[in-house]
Amino acid sequence: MIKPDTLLKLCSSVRITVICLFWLFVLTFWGTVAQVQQGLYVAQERFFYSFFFLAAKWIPVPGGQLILWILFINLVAAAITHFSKLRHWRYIGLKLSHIGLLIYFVSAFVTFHVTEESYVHMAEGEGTNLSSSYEKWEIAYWTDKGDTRKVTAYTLSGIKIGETIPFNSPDFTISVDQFLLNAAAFTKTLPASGVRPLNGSGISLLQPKEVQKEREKNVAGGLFTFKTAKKTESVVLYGAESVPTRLMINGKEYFFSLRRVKKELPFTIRLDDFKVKFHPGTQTAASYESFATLTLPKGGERKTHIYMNNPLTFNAYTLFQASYDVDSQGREYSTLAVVKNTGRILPYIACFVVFFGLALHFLISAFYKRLSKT
Amino acid sequence: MQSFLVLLIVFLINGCSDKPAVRHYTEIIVDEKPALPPMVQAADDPHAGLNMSGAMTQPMPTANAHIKDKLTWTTPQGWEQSAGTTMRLASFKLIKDPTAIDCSIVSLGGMAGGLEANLQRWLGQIKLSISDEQLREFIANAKTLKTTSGLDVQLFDFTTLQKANTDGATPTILAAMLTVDEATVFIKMNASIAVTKEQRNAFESLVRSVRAK
Repeated sequence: MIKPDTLLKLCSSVRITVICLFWLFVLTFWGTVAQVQQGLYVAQERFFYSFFFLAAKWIPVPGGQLILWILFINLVAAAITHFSKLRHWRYIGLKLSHIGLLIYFVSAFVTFHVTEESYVHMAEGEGTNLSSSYEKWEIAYWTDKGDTRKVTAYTLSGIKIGETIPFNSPDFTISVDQFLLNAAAFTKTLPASGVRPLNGSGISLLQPKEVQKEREKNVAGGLFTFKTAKKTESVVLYGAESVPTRLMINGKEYFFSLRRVKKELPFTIRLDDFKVKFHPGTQTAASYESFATLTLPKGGERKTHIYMNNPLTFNAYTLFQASYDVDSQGREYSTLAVVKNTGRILPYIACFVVFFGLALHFLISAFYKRLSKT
Repeated sequence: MQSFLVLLIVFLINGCSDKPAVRHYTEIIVDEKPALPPMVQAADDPHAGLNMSGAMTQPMPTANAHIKDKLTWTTPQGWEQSAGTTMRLASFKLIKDPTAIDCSIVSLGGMAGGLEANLQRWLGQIKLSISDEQLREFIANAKTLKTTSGLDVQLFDFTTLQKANTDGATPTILAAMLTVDEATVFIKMNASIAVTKEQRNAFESLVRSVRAK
């Protein structure tokens, strides 16, 4: 049985710190290079968010999250072990800078767990107060036809076949017959039952496709049973439909849609103009930028210009220029990545505490030496 | 210390739980898109005015460029093919009476704005109005046929929605829909009921002749 003191001493070893810092350097380099082939999000999850990942398909290698936890434990153990020896007031700066480093780890933990990533995709002239999840899907319905809708939605993560979606509507119940995270939709082929399900786009059949690691490339689809007081109907909903499926239930018009989970933004953003510049003689974009207007809930508007390395920051939200595309009618669309980080102030606090601690330690050391000399 | 640990555990449990629940939110839609250039918004565009934006981050496929090289067809006897436009892969007219029919082949990416929405709009073009139930019945009863290369086609005969005693000069539509790769291809003929009856076989032969390379 290892004694607590021995364990603490082992954990506080500087060797662990050096090895971990070296491995973090390797991971940062490796992950950055791998982003080119694997894509940003896959590389992030594989190299930095994981405890372990497989290199060359079979060699388990420690991931960024594990290394950060080890470093955190190492730093705490070092603080407990060494701080007790540094009781003199002249070490206060050193202690403060270490506390600052611990705040860094706490902020990394908070950021990892509370940060929400989503995106906004708009054509010029379009605007929204919602951002879309990259990977999660929801079934949503509304009855309003105007520009403002009251939407009821349910996230389909972990949904089981046969499960009833707990909308608690007096007009209908919806149960899940099939849910595919990535699906291909067909308008021509009938399902094995021979019964054509209802769908606003004429889709009659869904077939599973391999789930892509790059989550934004998946398009979900589902077959649902809608039960009303009068009848039971099969309805197909597909994530790439640009129109909702309309159903008349008890004389009321309902619109149903399977779409990426929506998150409310504290403002409405409208894309006024989008500009893209290409490298001469190529179709490779040299730069692209969005000119947008924010409408605030309390009234008032704010013009903004978002481009590479110039994101829009609004409270806990940061909007980055992510990509663009052009539709078949030549309209330009801008995609803005939305990051909500309620703990974004913590790294600044950590940075300040480390700086203040080091400055204090430097000044005290200089002052203490001079005092000692006199 | 104990209370700190309890708080930490509560924080961790709350932070890690992700149970879905019914959510209610307000969606504000701003749609002040500028008008399309006149060439694209011409009457021959079967999708003019539709919101074609997808919810994905990938570019919406501009199907014409991709499909144009992939599709071939045989022009029916007595018909003449004219060059396509931005939206059309091809246009056809009758040699004996160039204004009698307006037939086009159009392809659009993905679900092409939705079948119901397209059919509703075409119904509007011939000034017909039907209920949602009738529209679904119309879609469900659509005739299906196979092209000579084995592609499945849905055929929408709008004359079936018009009364039997409707004047022969009344405009109507014959439309076919097929999927090639991830693009939806529409073949649509606008003509009077009388000419449609006369040219139905030619239209179907055009549809059957469509091949994907």
